[in-house]
Amino acid sequence: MDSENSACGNPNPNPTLGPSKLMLAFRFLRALSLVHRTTPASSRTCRGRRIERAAYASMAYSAGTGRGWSRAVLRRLHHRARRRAVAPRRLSTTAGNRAEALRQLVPGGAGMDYCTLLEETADYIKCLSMQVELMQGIVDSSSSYGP
Amino acid sequence: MDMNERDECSSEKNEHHLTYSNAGFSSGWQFRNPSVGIVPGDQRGSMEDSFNPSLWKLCESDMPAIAKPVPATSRFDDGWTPSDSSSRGGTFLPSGPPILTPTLSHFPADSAFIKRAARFSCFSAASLGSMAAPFGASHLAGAQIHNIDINMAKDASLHDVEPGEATVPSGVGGGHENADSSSKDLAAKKRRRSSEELEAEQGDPQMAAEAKTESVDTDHKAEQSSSTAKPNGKHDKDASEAPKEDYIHVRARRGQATNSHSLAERVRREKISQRMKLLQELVPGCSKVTGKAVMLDEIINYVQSLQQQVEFLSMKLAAVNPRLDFNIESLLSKDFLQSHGGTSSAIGFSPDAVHPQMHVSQQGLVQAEISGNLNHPNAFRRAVNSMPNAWDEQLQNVMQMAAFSSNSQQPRTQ
Repeated sequence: MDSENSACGNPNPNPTLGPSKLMLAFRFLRALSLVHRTTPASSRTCRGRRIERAAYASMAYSAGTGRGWSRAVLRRLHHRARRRAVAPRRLSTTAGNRAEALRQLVPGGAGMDYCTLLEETADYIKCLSMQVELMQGIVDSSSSYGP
Repeated sequence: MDMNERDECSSEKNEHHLTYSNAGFSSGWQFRNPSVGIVPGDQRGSMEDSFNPSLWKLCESDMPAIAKPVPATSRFDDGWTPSDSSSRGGTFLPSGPPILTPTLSHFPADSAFIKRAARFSCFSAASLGSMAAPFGASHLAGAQIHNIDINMAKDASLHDVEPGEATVPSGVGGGHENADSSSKDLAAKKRRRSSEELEAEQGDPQMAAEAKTESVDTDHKAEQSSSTAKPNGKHDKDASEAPKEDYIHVRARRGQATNSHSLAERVRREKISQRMKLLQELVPGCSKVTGKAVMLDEIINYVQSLQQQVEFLSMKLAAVNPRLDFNIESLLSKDFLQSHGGTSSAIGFSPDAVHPQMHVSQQGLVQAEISGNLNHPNAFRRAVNSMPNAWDEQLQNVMQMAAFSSNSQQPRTQ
């Protein structure tokens, strides 16, 4: 799954402007079809998680390696390829300090200073919202065309 | 006798001089000239006050006409040059009227000095309106104006500049180069403002213009030196402390600590507030929220909600399976296979054999852009760019083509 994403040519050429929606769509759709093809129809949750991982992977590849959070996501994906790990979602309410909570949410946030953390959060939010838009669009159009 | 008296006075006056952060000549001149209200009168000792009225009279009436012979001393002559050191400046202080006259008798001897004298007197707040001189600008006088500008800027404009300085930290936050230019502008503005104030008082545009240009020029040179020294935080805004550096360090706000640590802290805080503003724009519904804590809470909630949405949608996508996806996949890969010769092996199927109609429809797309080249992302981009650019429209188009092609085929079992 990662290989096909990474085989897709150069990373994001303009990291400051944010990932291009087109590349995001391309990567995600490709990964999505792969997941659909390779996982058996019975294990829906398994497929769902794979799709989610594919979403994060395509997000990270589109964002390029210029961003701390994208590097962290890719690192996590590569290292945990065997385990069924998804994006960690520890409840931030347990963390008293808000900065700590934010660090838990944003991938790679633990090793950053506060200033960088804010910057990465902004980029992460941009990419996340793009990804959500894309997925919503796919769901909508596929449901309208659905069987 | 004159010399002795002078010496006695000079030893006392020297201390006064050293407290003034100015070149010796000009401060000496200020000392002598009662009407120069540039350095606020509070700072002066009482001794000058005794001189003031006498000087005033002398200046007003006698300047051009003083002909009393002066015990010519080389020190006097040297003293009138602007490059004098502070120690020399001290020697010029007259202790009393009798000594005043010798100094004043030099006035006619030095026409340049007359101009200078007129200039300085013109700069006074209490001013000799009458002294507002028709004297032409001279370079030396201009240099003195510069020094006086600095003093004015330091002491008087400090109060004026408060609002202007609000812009400086933003410049600081923007980076070193930005900060340099913004501080330069601010310093230049200060100088211009002070010289404009002076101009307003006497209505001598010539002098003010020259003062402006000269001060701006020297501004830039000094600003560079001061800005490079900025990280050290050695420059103090208070006038009383900067001996050689006549320039105010615009980046230190008035009344705040100026050591290197607090300057760095301020820069950091500016950066953080900038980023918070960015985030505020990104997160919907946060424009009314003020305060870092609440903002952070909002941001955290938003990121959490986005991540939850991704999870939910991925589950949904898993359920909704689309053969459409498959078609889309083929659509996409078709392009690459055509342009790049089938390197996308991960996709793992041969479009040609299975979807002949789509192949045909794809051909149109591919030929629409051309150039058989390289990166399939580029080819893909070009392919989709031929379609309208709206996000939803793209998807819809892709879907439509998929639907069109899927109608003519048997659905694949998965």
